[in-house]
Order: sequence, then structure tokens, then C-alpha cells
Amino acid sequence: MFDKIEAIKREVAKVVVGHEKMIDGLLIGLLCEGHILIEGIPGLAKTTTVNALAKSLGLGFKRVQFTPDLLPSDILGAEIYDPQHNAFKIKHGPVFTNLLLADEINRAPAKVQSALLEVMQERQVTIGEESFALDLPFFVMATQNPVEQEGVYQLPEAQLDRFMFKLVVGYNTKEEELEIARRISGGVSQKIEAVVDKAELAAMKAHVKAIHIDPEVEHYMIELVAATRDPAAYGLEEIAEYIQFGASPRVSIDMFKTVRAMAFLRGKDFVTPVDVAYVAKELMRHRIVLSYEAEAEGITTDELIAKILMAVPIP
Amino acid sequence: MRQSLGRVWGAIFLLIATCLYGGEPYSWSLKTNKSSVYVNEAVEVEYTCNFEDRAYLYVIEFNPEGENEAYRMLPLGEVESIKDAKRSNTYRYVLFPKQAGHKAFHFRALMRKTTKASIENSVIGRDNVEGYAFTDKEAVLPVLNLEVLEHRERMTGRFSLNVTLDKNETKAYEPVHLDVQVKGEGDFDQMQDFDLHIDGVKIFSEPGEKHYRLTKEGFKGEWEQKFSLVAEKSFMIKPLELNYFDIDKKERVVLRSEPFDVAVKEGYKREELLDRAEDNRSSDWWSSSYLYYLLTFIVGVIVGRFVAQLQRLKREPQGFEAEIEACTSVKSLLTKLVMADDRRYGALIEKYEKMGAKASLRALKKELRAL
Repeated sequence: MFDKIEAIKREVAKVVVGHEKMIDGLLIGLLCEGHILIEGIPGLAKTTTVNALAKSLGLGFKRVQFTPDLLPSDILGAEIYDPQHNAFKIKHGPVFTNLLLADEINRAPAKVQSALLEVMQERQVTIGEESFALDLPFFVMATQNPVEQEGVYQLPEAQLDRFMFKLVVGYNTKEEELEIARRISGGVSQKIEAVVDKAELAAMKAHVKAIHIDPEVEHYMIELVAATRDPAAYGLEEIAEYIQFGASPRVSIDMFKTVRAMAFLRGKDFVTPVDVAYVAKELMRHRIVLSYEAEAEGITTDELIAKILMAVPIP
Repeated sequence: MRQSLGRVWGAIFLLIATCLYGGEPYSWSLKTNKSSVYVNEAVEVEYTCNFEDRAYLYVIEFNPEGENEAYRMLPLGEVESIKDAKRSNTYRYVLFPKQAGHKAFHFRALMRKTTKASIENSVIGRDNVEGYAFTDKEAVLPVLNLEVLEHRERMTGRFSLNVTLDKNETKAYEPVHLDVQVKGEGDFDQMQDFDLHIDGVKIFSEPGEKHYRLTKEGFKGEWEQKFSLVAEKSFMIKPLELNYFDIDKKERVVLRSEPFDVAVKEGYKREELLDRAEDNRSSDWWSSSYLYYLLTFIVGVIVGRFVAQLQRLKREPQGFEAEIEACTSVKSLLTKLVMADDRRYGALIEKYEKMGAKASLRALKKELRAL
């Protein structure tokens, strides 16, 4: 089973250099049926990675560039009049796919964001009077650009909470960038083969669900989430004023899912606290609401999560 | 007939007054505290310009000459006030006449009125039309008449002299200190340093220190000069004298200090106080003391390098290194390494995670240091 994961990674690596953490995050999202929010400046191969992943899995892929004038019907689809048959027919939008890349999601107005996030939650679309179930797996990867602050509609906390992971993509190393430049300038493009079918993907998901979590590790995860809500109770009085709202119960649920997937990606059939540490930032960084004091002092959620991880006793 | 002649003269006077002062929305007045003074005696002069309204458009430039052959004039202050919606500007000066006789002092002020064009230019933002900013008119101020009386002294005012000596007995080459203080008010700025000469006595002195301020009666405060006197034998300080013209007594006054006898006992010998003469026999380019300097330098370099090496060995870990050292268990250290998000640690994390309870914290830290 683990060989399949390695095969997927090999296929993606044909077109993407580096970014192992982003690829792992996407695979975890895929295995846990959770959606991923990616933050990174333009040109870091976010779209290429998702495209490569979709091809290697033999899944459908569509990309929507979110703009301020986008309407909900532009992504969901609409009922249109067919004059030839004198009847209305349904035109499906780009959400009818397996992997959807919502590029720069915070550029679209709130009603479009809400329409997409509803689809993400329900995994079905209602157009007119008819409801359509989406073809599973349905997986959304949304990007937002941290550089541009003008003309964006920031996602509200309640909607951010629906993203299982928030991945922060950084620059490649110099060696990786050299490799990228050589590959692109050489004009050599490699074809990505589908190495996993839907049945194998379903089997992998089932395998992940069966991975064992020790009760001690389960309690540890609950303590971690609780520490984000009441840091003072864990001897972290100094960060208590920086947190306005801690992580929601949805984080606990997602943590239980993702640590299994992380252990699976790391070739194990049981979860350790190291797996928890590997997913903690990605799970919680967008779900902890910082106070005004934290923003004024430039404190980030990543710093707070690191402190919490070091403060809560590890089993 | 006599009554109508009076009316004619009255009309003529009114016409002349109107021609001279009429038409301007301001008038100047003069106030002094004295009309008769001695040469170099301070006189307070107060010129006031009274406007008929708030006079927003007017700027006054009154900068009388500070010193010439006839007088010295120093500013005391300037006040602008508005009372009953009328503006007034008062300029206070202290004048010291230099020459005797009946003196008439003439002063002028430039009355500058902001033009309409200037206001319009300011409103539209043009700032390169200074030539149109004001309409200037020179105002002739009331004449200051003073009867200045003659005297031949350099200083004028009211002064007192106080001369003190710190001790009357000393050892050879040990100094005694003489302090000369002049207090009072007048033209203190004319005060000159005392010049002290005593045979066989080495005298060190500082320029006089001025601790006075300008008032309407001239400069008020004190002036101080200090001397240090060194001798081998006993000596006498002759009385110091200060001549001035006293404006209260209206006569020349001579202030004289007491003479001081200073007994000098034998103390140090001259030879003991002087540095030893250079040994001319030694070579110009080499001295045995150079060897001492050279050895000191070499030892300094060796010790410095040793201390630097010791500090490198004892260096306290900082930043992430310190956080690693602070970890007390393998699990917390592995968590810390995961948080660091650094690929270099990937293999180590996996290795020590697999070891489980057998993993050694010391070994992990050692491997991390080696990375």
C-alpha cells in the first residue's frame, strides 16, 4: 500500500521539484477527504502540483481563477434556456470534478466564497430545483496570496475552519531552483502516468482509517487543542493574551484523521507524538484567532503552536 | 479779534498735525526712566507703537543700531499685546550714552503692510512674488532727548569690592589663592581683568568670570577673578584698586582692598619638584625600556589568544541551539526538531522515533551538534 504513495510522489516529482511538505499535505487532504488552503506567493508551482497529483491519481482536475466579478453560477453551474428544444437545461460548473483548484479564493466576493464552501461541506450542488451529488473524491485546494492586500475579501474565521489544512509554501532551495531552471529551459516535459485508480485510492483511505492511535496519544491531542483555548492552564500565561479564540472541536476531529494519514505517509501503522507534531501547525495555524496584542507585536500562530507543543506533556 | 486769532492758530496747528500724523492707523510713543544721566549710565528706553485696531496686516521692523560713537543700546524685551481690540507693540532697550552734552537720539522703524496681492498669492499658493508682499513705510519715532553729564571714569554705576586670600601662611611652592569679587550694577561689561605683579612670585590667573544680567539699571550681578600665587619666600600682596563713577554719590569712588602678608616657610626644594633630566648618554633609537614594552605586547597577544580560545570553548549556545540544549527528553526534542521544519533533521527524527524507549537524549544531542 505504501508503494502506491511512493509511486504517486515519483510521478509528481517529474514536474515538481521539492515542495515535499506541500505534496504530503495534499496527499493527507486526499486520504482524509479534507480541503486544503495554500498560502504562497505566485510562481511556486501550486497549480502544477495539484495538476500533477490529479493526473497521477487518474482524477478529474479543474481550475477556477477567482475574481471580484465572479458569480456563484460561474462555479456551480446554471439552468439555461435551450431555444431549440424550448426547455431549460442544466450546465454544470467547474465544481463538477474531483480536484478543484480555487485560485486566489479571497479575490471573490463573500457570496461566491460561501457557495464554494457550502459545496465543500455538503459535496452536492443544487441548481434550480435539482440537486446533484458530486463525483467522489471531491477535493478543493484553494490558494490565497499573502502579498496583495488590496481588493481582497478576507475569508471569515468560520469559513477558514472548513479547511482541514493550511499549507504555507515557501521558496525552493537554491539547488532545487537550479534544477527547475534547467528543466524548464531545456524544454523537456515528462508525461505523468496515472499510477493509482479510484479503487486503490479507496483502499488506501480504508487502510488509513485502520491505523492505530494509542489512547495516550489521543489524550495528548485533546490536551493540545485544549491548550490553545486556555494556555494559562498549561503554564503558558505569557501567550494567554495573544489568543482571542482557540481551536474549534473540528480541529480535534481533523487531528485524529490527519495523524493517521501522516503515520501512513511515513510508512507506519501506528501514530506517535511525532506525527502529531508534523501536522499541528498545518491543522491549527488558520483556526487560532489572534488577539489585537498579538498582531501588534507581530506574533504568529505558528509561534504559539510551537510553544503549546513544547508545553503540553508528551506521552 | 484776539478770540478769532486763536481759532486761526488752532486750525493751523490741527492742519499741521493732520498732515504729519494723520492718515496712519498707528502712533509711536516714547517712555524713559531718566532724562538726565551720566556718561555710561543706563537709561531704560521704551518705544510703543499703538494701533487703532488689531492691525493684522502690519509687521514692524524696529532694529536700532546696537552701538555707535554716541551710545550703546541693548535689547531688554519686546511685547505684543491686544487690548480692547487694539494692538500695541512695546520695545524695551537699555541705552548707555557715550558722550556728554545735550543729546538727541533719532530712531526709525519700518512699518510693513501686507498687500492684497500678497494675500491672494498666498491663497493660490504662489510663493515666488516676495516683491509684492508688503507696502513699506518708514516711521519716524519720537526723539529721545537726554542731558548727558560728563565724568572721566571708565566705569559707571554702584559697585563693591571684596578680595579674599585663602591662607596667610604656606610652604615654598605651595600656592595661595586670591579671590577678587566685584558686585553691584552698572556697566559691568566694561570691567577689565586685574593685573597683578609681585617680584619673586609666580602668579597664575584666569580671566574674570561674568555672572551678571541686563536690567533697566544696567548690568547687575558680580564679576570674579581668581589668582594662584606661588613663591619661595614670603611676600606681600598690595591693595587692589577699582575706580568708578558712583551715580548715587555723583562722584569718583576708589575701592581699595586690604594688603595681605603671606609668610612662606621652607617646604619642597626646587630640585625635588622637577623631573629628572634625560640621560643624554643613551642611544637615540634604543632604550632598555623598549624591551619591556615588546615583551608586554607579546605576552598580551598570547594571553588574548588563549582567552579567546577559552571563550570559544565555553560559549553558551544561543537561539535554536539553546532550545535544543534545554530539551529534557527525547520526545520533546523530536517535537522541537519537527517544529523546526528543516529537512536535515528528517532522518534523525525517524531514527530516534523508531528506537522508542531505548533512544538516548545525550546521543541525539551529540548527533545534532555534529550536523
